[in-house]
Amino acid sequence: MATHQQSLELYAASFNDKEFSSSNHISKALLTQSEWLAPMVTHAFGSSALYGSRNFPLSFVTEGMGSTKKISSTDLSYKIAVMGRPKKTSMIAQTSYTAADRPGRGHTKFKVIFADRWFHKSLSLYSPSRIECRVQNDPIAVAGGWEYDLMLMSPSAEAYIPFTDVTAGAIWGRGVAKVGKERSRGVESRSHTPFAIQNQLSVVRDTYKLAGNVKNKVMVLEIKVDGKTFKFWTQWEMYYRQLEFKEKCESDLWYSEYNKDENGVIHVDDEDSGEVVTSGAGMLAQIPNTDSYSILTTNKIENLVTDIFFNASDADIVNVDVYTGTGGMREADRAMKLSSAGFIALGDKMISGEGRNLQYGAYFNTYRHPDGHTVNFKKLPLMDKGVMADISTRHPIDNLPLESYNMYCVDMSTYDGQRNVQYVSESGREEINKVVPGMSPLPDGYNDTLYASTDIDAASVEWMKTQGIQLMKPTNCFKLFCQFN
Amino acid sequence: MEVRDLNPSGASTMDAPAKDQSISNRKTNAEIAQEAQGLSMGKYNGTKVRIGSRIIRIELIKKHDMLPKDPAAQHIRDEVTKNIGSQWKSGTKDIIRGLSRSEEIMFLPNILGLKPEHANWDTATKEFWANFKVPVTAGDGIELEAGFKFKDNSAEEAEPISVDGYMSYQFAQANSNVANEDEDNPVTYTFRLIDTAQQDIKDEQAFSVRKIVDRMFNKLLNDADAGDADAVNTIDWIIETIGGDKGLGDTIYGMSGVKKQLEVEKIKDKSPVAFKEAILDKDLETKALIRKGVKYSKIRHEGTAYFIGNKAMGNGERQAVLWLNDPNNSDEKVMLIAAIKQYMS
Repeated sequence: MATHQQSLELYAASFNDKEFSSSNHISKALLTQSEWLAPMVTHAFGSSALYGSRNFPLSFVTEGMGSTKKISSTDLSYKIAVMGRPKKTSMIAQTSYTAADRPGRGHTKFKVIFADRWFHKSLSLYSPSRIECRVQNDPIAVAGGWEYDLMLMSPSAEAYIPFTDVTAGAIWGRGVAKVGKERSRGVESRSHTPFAIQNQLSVVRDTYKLAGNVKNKVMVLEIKVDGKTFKFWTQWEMYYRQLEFKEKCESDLWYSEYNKDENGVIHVDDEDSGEVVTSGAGMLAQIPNTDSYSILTTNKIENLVTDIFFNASDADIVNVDVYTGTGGMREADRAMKLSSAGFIALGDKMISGEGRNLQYGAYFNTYRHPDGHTVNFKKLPLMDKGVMADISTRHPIDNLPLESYNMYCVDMSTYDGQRNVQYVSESGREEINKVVPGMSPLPDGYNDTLYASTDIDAASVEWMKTQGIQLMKPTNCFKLFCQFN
Repeated sequence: MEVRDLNPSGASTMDAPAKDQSISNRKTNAEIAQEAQGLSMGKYNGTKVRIGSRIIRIELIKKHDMLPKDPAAQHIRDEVTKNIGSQWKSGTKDIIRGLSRSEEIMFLPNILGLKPEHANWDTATKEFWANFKVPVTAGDGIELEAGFKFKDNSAEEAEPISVDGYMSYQFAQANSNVANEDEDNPVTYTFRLIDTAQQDIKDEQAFSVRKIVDRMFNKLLNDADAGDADAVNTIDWIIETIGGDKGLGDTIYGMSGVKKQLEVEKIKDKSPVAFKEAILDKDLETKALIRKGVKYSKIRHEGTAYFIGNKAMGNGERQAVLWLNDPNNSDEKVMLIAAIKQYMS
């Protein structure tokens, strides 16, 4: 008869070990001090110091770093004010001229109709052909726009405005107001006001249900993960559940879709309560700039960054973080290696070590843009292993999920002391963790009570939080998708 | 007796003494159709293309975004960049291109500064398409010229009016983020492609068909008036096959010659394409015979099957036509014609 191998025996023994102190258990901390400890949890998960920033970058750089905003509105919506580039131009709305006309010839006034009343009397205007004209009157409202009297600044009596400059759609720019050398009057002013954009929070929940005496069941094999050792099934499962909830919340901060229509109506209801289900715009829903790629080239990176930041209101040199998966990191490295191949020999960079202990491999992950911007490619595990990766089709060459190749460029800069990416939650409901006691022993960290909410031999742990992410300058970010046609 | 062109070339026309000589000098219906279809068409890269401007508009599909909606905030929305960019071509390890390989050889050497024979040609063209983009602006979107013109000194060979517009259109059309005009799912697509020339093309095609059909109709009536027996018979067969309210054939019993011509004109106006197909149909007479046979209960039509007496003619009209045209069944065909004639007399 073979010797009994106790280590291979699969059994479960009742265990009531008081040395399994619950004071270090994360769920207890959450239960008692959730509001201010929620950011700490983001740091605390995992044994690696980089675990939070690698796996939950949005939660980490916002919630975890204290870049949070709290709101109190009853419908969970909030507004932010945005301002674009200073307006310097106006568009010709319509024209009464034909190609045979010579507007302005012989130092005469000529009329043009602009789409708005942005220009004012005395201003110098520049036509698309860079011809300077002066506004000679206060604009008059006419059908379809505002009528202006203009005169050419040119001293030549032969000069006139080309027909193409006064056709509908032509863009004119403003200069300075030029006035008479004496007794001139002050000129009008035009001002910009910020525009409001609206977003809302999502209310997210998760539940861990346990039944019977599962709390006191000890596992035969211990589970070691992230520097912790779990002996009790519920301890391990609770830890796993919280990690999973964290992953779902992080995922939602990226992918959540805004669900309020143009009239402010939400069409999705909670079938239990009849209340509307609010869903805020996640990071991707807020980023308006979009492009697609197949094979990444430095040309593509350069042009896209130029497009985004040349157009953006703020022309400052910025640090751009491009979040991507393993596939995208490979593409970035390939693109930069290919582009640099003509200039430098990478051999000595690729090989390191001495004697028989040689190492091969050195990889690009930062691109310095000619305009001074720094583009940092950062690996986001969510894009390799997250839900979008799991439902993604595969790359035709590397066979990795296409989501792993998508690139989400987020401007993580700080403008006027304010981070461009802000985590938003509802005041008082940042994160709530409660237990619904029944006849089952409660998991560690939750005090047993004489009172039960149900007579069923079960209990549950409930998590609920309000969360949203807000990009203050969405036009400084872009999405680059790797796609099939 | 067989159905053929109303004015076939060769002996049969020359042997028709009763026919007006001018009839034989006119073009056949097949020639009329061929000539009319060639209107405004050119040859490009081995295929027929329509000559003329073709403006393709690409606009953004309206979907929710987090930008201010105020009309005065247009300049903020104008800061947005939306590109139709490169994609992998489904089911391949290649990427989408705006030109075929043969077109690349025609147009890309000038753009790339590289000859197709160069060792780097494949790499350079692939990189060109990897970097290619069609930026679409907010508001009215963009317009691309995707039409063709005749090459200089050629009345047949065509070339794109704008190579850039043509390849941008082809590239955009291949991109999965671009919807066609009738597709509007905002969660699936970002851009919509509108072929502003499409209605013009439809109008032109309809006009072209009407033009052909009018010429065929006039020729048919002229030939019939000139005493051409084939033309007279064809008028009968057209009414018997595609006449009537349902277009399934009508009886000519008791109709005068003028009434028949009026009836054919109605058919022509109601369905020019059906008229054109009928007049060019070599089996028109047989089809008319089958329709009459069914109408006068000389042929049994059960479901899709046709029977004459106890013999199966086939499944579907096409097989029934082949059966009647088969010389082995000529006895049945003669008996059928006689039975119908007797029924109608």
